[in-house]
Amino acid sequence: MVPKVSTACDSGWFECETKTSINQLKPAAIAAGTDKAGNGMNEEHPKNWKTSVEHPTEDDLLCFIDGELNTSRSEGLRVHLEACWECRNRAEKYQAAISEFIDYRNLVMKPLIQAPGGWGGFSAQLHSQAAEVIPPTLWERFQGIIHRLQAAVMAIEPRTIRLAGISMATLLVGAIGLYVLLVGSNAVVSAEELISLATQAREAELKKADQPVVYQQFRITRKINDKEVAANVEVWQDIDNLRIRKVVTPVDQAQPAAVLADLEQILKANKYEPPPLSVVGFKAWRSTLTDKTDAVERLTTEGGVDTLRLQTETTRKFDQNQLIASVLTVRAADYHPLEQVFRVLNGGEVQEYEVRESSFAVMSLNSLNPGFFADSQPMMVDTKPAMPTAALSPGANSNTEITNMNTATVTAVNAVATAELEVDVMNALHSAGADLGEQIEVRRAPNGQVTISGVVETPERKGQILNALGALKDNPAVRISISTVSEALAAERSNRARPQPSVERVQVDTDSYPAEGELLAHFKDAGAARTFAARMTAQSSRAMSYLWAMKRLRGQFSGSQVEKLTPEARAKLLGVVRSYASNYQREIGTLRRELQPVFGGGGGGTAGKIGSDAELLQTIDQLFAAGTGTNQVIRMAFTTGSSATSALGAPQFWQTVARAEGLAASIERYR
Amino acid sequence: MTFDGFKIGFSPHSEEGEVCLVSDETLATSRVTIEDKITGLFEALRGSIHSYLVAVFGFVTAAEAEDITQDAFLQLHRMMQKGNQIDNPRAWLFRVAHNRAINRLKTQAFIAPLDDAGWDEVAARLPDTSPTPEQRAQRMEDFAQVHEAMKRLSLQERQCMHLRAEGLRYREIGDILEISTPAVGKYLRRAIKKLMLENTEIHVSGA
Repeated sequence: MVPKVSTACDSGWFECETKTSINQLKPAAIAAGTDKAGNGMNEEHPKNWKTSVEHPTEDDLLCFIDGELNTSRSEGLRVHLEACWECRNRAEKYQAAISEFIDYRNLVMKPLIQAPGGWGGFSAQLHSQAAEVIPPTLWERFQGIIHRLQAAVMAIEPRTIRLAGISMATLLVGAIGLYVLLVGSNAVVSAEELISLATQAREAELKKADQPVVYQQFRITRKINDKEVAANVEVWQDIDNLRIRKVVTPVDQAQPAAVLADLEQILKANKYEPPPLSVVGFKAWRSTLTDKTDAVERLTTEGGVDTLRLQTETTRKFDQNQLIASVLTVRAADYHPLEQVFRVLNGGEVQEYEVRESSFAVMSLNSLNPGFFADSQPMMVDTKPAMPTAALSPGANSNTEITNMNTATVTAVNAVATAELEVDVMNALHSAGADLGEQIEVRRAPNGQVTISGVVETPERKGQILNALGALKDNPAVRISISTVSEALAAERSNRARPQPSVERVQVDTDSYPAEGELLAHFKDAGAARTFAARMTAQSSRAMSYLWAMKRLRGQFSGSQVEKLTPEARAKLLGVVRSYASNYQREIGTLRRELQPVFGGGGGGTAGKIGSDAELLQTIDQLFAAGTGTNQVIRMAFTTGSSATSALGAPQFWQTVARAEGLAASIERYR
Repeated sequence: MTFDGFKIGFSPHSEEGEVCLVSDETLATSRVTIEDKITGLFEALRGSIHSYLVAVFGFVTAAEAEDITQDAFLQLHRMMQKGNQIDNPRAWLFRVAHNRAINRLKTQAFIAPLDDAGWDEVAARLPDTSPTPEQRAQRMEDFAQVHEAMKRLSLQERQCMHLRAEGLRYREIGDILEISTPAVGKYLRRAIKKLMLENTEIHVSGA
C-alpha cells in the first residue's frame, strides 16, 4: 500500500498536545519566515494557521519549508506544525526527499561533471575583452546612471522615504518660521523703534567728523490741486555752533521761491522745528499729537532701494494751517531719511509739501572757509541727536564737488523783500534800541533782500538784537549778520579781506579844548569843567544817533514809495519816524538847557506844519542838516587838541539849535 | 568562500541572494576593478552554472557547457564595463547561461541529460567512498531510486529542482526560466512528490 502524502492531512484538524521541535525540518526556512517571493505565493489563499481548523496545502507546506511564506503566515503555520503530527509528518517527508536529492547531486552527479578545459583561457579572454571594449557612449552612460538611480531608489525602504519626507517637511516649516521671525520681524518695526534707530544712526555718523557740518541738498515741492511749485535747497548746518546756512533756488525762475519759508512757517506753527527732513523734528511734532495713528511699511523704490516708511497722522483735524500728517521715508540699510511729505490742512483743502533729499554729506567745520557761516542764521533747535547719518546718498555729489562748493561764492537768497518788511525790520531794531549809535546797517537792494549787518559790543547785546528781530529772522528775504566786536576781530584775523569794524569812541583827556576857557570861568574847577564837556559831547552824540537813524530810514524810501505803503505799514513807518523826532527833540532840548547858563543863547524853536509825506521827507533832510551842524559845533568845542575856537557863543549856533528843535517838533506832530 | 582576498557570498541586504564582493580589508581602501569582480564571480559560480547546464541540458560534451558558462561571464563583464548595474549577478548569470543553452539546443540535436543516463553507467563511474561494502550497497540503492525518479521529472521540474538546489529563490528561478513565481512552487512540489513516491515505493518494496 502506498500512502498518499497528498491525502495525509485530509482527515481535518487534529489538535496536538505534544510540543515537538521542528528544527529538524529546515531551521533556515523557519527562521527566515519572510521573503519577497512569498508576497506572490498563494496570496489568493491567505490563511491564519494559528486559528484555522484546516491543514495547510501541499504548496503552502513546501513554501513554508523553503521560507517562501510571509512572516505572519509562516509563524501561523509553524505553530500549526508544532500542534499537528500529521502535517509535521508530511513536512518531514518533503524534507527527506529534498535531502535525498541534494545528496544525489553532490555525490553522484557533480563528480561526474567536470569541465574538460579546466576553465583555462578565461582570464586571458577577460583581459583581452577589457582592452578591446570601446568605452561606453554618452547615451549608454546616461542609461547606466538612470539604471543605477532606479536601483538606488528601489533599494530605499518605503519607511526611509516617509521619514525623509517628514524630515524635509519639518525642516521646511522650520525654515519658513525662522524666515518669518528674522526677516519678517525686521520688515516692520514700530514707529518708536524706527525713530530710535534713526536717531542712533544719526549720532553715530556725527561722531565721524570733528565739529561736524551737515550738508543737505533737497528739493521741496508744494502741491496744491495738481499745481506744483518747487525749489532746490542747499543747507549747511553747523551742529556744534547751532548755525545754519541756506541757499534756495527756484526751479522755475518765474515762480517765487518762498516754498521753504512757507513750509518752515507752517512747521513752526505746528511745533515742528525746522529744518524739514529731520528725525528730531518729526519726533517732537509726533509727541505733541494726542490722537494719532502710526503706520510703518517696508517698500522698495523704483531704484531698488529698500526703505521703511513711517506715516503719522493726527485724527484731530480742525485748524487752519494744521499739519495733519507727515510721512518719513528712511533707507532700511542705515535709517537715513530720504524723503518726507507734509500734509497741511488749509481752508478745507490739503496742501502737500514733499521734501526729497538728493545729496548728503557730513564734513568738518575746519574744511570750510572761516567766514562760511558769517551770514548764517542761528538754528532754532539743536538737531544733533536727530539728524540721520550716512555716506553720500545715491547720486549725491562726490566729496570733491562738495569741497569745491565750500569755496564757491554762495549766491544770495533769491527772495524779494518788500518795503513793508523793511519797515518791520526797522521797527524791530528800533524797539530794541538797536538803531541808535551802534553800527547796525539796514540795506535793501532793489528787488532784493533786506540785509541787517553790524557789530555790537557784547554777546548779550547781540542776543537782544536777535531777539528783537524775532520772527523776521526766518524770513528768506531777510539776512541778518550781527557779530560782536570779538567775533568781528577774530574773523578779521582769519580773513584779511573782511573790513575791520571801527568803533567810534569819544576821547576826553586832560589836554585843553576850545571851550575850556568858558567852562573854567563858569565852573571854577577844571574837573567839573571836563565832566561837563564829556557829558555834553555824549548828549550831543545821543541826540545825533536819532537823526542818523531817521536819516537811514528816510534813505530807504522815496515819497511815492511811502504813499504806496499799506496804511498799516505807513503807520508803522511814521511811528518810528515820530519816535526818532521826539527823542531828538528831547535830547537837543536838554542839551540847549545845559549849555545856556554857560554860553548864553536863545530859546527853543517853534514847530511848523508838514502837509504831505514828501514834505515830511524834506523836513527830515532839513532836520538832519541842522542837527549835524549843531553836533559838529558841540564836538569841536569840547574835543581835545582841536585848534578851532568855540562857536557855542555865536548866535548862529543858537538859531540852528532852535531850528532843529522846531523841525523835530514838526515831524513829531505829523500824522 | 574566500578567494584572492575577497569574500563572495549572499549580500546581507538582499534576501534574493545577491552575490557581492567584499574585501577582507575594506573596499574603501582598495580599488577593485571590474575585471577583479568578474574574476571573483567566475571562481565562485562557474561550477554551479556548469553543473546546471550539464545536468539539465545534457550536452554532448561538457566542453560546450564550459564555453557557454564562460561566455556568460564575459557578457557580464561587457555589461558592467558599459556602466550597467547588475543587482543580482548570480541570477543574471544563470539566466544568460540558460538562454544560451536553449539557443544552442535549437541548432543541434537534443542529447539526453545526465539524469537520463542508465544507472549502471552512472554507478560504474562513481568513486567508492563508503566505509563498508554493505553501506555502499545501501547507498547505491538509495541513489538508484533517486536516479530513476529524476527520469520522471519534466524539463521544467528538473530545471526548478537544480536551480533551487543552487540556492536560488522562487522569484529568481521564475526570472531565469521566465515563468511566474507560483509556477515555480508548483513545479517544485510536483518534482518533490515524484521523488517521494519513488522513495516510498522502493522503500516499501524493499521492506
